[in-house]
Amino acid sequence: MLEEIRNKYLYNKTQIVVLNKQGVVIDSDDLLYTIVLSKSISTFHPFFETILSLIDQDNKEFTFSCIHIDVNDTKRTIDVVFNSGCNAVNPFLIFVDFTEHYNSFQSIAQEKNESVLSFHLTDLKNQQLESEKNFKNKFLANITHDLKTPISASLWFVGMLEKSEITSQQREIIELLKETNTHIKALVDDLLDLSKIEKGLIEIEQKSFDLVKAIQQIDKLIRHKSEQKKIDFKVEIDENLPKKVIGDKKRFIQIVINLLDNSVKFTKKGSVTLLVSLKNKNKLQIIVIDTGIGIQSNYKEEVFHSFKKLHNSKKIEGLGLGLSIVSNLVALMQGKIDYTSTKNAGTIFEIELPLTIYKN
Amino acid sequence: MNSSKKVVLVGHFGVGKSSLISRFVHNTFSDNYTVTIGVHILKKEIEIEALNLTLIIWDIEGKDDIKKVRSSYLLGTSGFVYVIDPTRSQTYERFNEEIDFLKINYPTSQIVSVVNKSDLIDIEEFKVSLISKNIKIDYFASAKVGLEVENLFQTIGLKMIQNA
Repeated sequence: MLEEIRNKYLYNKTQIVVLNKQGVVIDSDDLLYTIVLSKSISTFHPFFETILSLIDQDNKEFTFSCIHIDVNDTKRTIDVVFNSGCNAVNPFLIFVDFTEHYNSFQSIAQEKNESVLSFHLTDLKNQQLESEKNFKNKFLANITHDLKTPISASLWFVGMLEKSEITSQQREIIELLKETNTHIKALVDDLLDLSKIEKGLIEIEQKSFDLVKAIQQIDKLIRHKSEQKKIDFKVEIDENLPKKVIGDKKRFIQIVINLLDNSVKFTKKGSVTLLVSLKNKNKLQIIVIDTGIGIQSNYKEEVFHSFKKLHNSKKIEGLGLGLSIVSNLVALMQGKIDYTSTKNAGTIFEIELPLTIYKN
Repeated sequence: MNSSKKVVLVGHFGVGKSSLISRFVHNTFSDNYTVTIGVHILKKEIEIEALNLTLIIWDIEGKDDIKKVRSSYLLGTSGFVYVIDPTRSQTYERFNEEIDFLKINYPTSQIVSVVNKSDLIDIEEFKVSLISKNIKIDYFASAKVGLEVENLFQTIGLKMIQNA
């Protein structure tokens, strides 16, 4: 009975190899590996090349655990017992196959180590991101500051030139120059704003302002741009909207204009609509609907990242800052922003801002 | 003339010992981490000063303490390559202590110290931080991009031959 169990469970798990004092294989039962006789054991696998130096020691035994011996198609993880022999006994090796045991140990170790490494890798990436962000902010602040003064001066000179006696052809050139300068100034202002936002230097004012007038101001600015692109621009204001509210007028206008500007920019034909309404009496809901190129679903995570351009068209200008500035300002106002989009059909941006009605 | 020497790579788990060996022996690299348990043994022949030297390279499982390494793995070692990961300070906190352990217990063995994953860091900045910890590193390598891998094995080979 015992012999039967031994044969079934242990017989095929061990191998004995007998060597001479030079390390040449003189016998092997080949139960785990096929080993060529009359050749040095070192030719079988490099592991044995390093243990042959122990063969000169008299009657010493060494155990090597968890050795991966992969030879041809036989891959096993074994424990090796090496006996250096003595005058009466030849050196010999015993292999014990623990492949299954070590494989399960490997799985446990893999899981444990992976989680530790993954934690450190995430930590490293975060540190790198933080350092890149700091560099970007510093760079932005310096460059925008250096650009702002000459651009303003250039605009002033163009204005002076416009007032002088010039031909109609020169006037056209000056118009183009003015437009270009204004565009660069807007970009620099965006960069400066983003840099201030990321450094936490922007504070949201809490002053009373006329909400309806602010929307009319936005309407005027965007209508001009949409007409140039031959796009319909509609504005719908909730009748129940309070006339005066407490908040930051400049930043409110900036949010809505950035959104509308973006929509006009990415709409070739069709319309852009602005809906402003009350939600639950204490929230202002701003919805911007366009029939533009839409946003691919795989950009969902990155839409509000700075310098993220969601298109490859060189015809569409911009640095990819508009939506980033909007989402940052909305967050500063304790509001929410989200969007739904269908590629080549359009996008709907929805913003909710807390509303404080001015009571005088 | 031919000769063979045993080289063991030591260091914490996940520092990239197997990756360095894989880059050196097969010139390959994988981003997928596979934990080493026990030991894998590979060999590669190199030429140093007109001598053909066969390196028998022992890729042993990583341990956070050199004293925990099975002593049978270190028997008859001619050269150690001590590997650290610059992104995990735990892997070099006790660097000098571990090197001293090897020097005391394996006095005839040669040692080369290596920072792997150098592609992930600013090397000059890291060198300054190591100097402040009194840590002396021989190579700033990267198994991923193949930086200094060949050189570090050539150096341990040369040191072992000169010591023979």
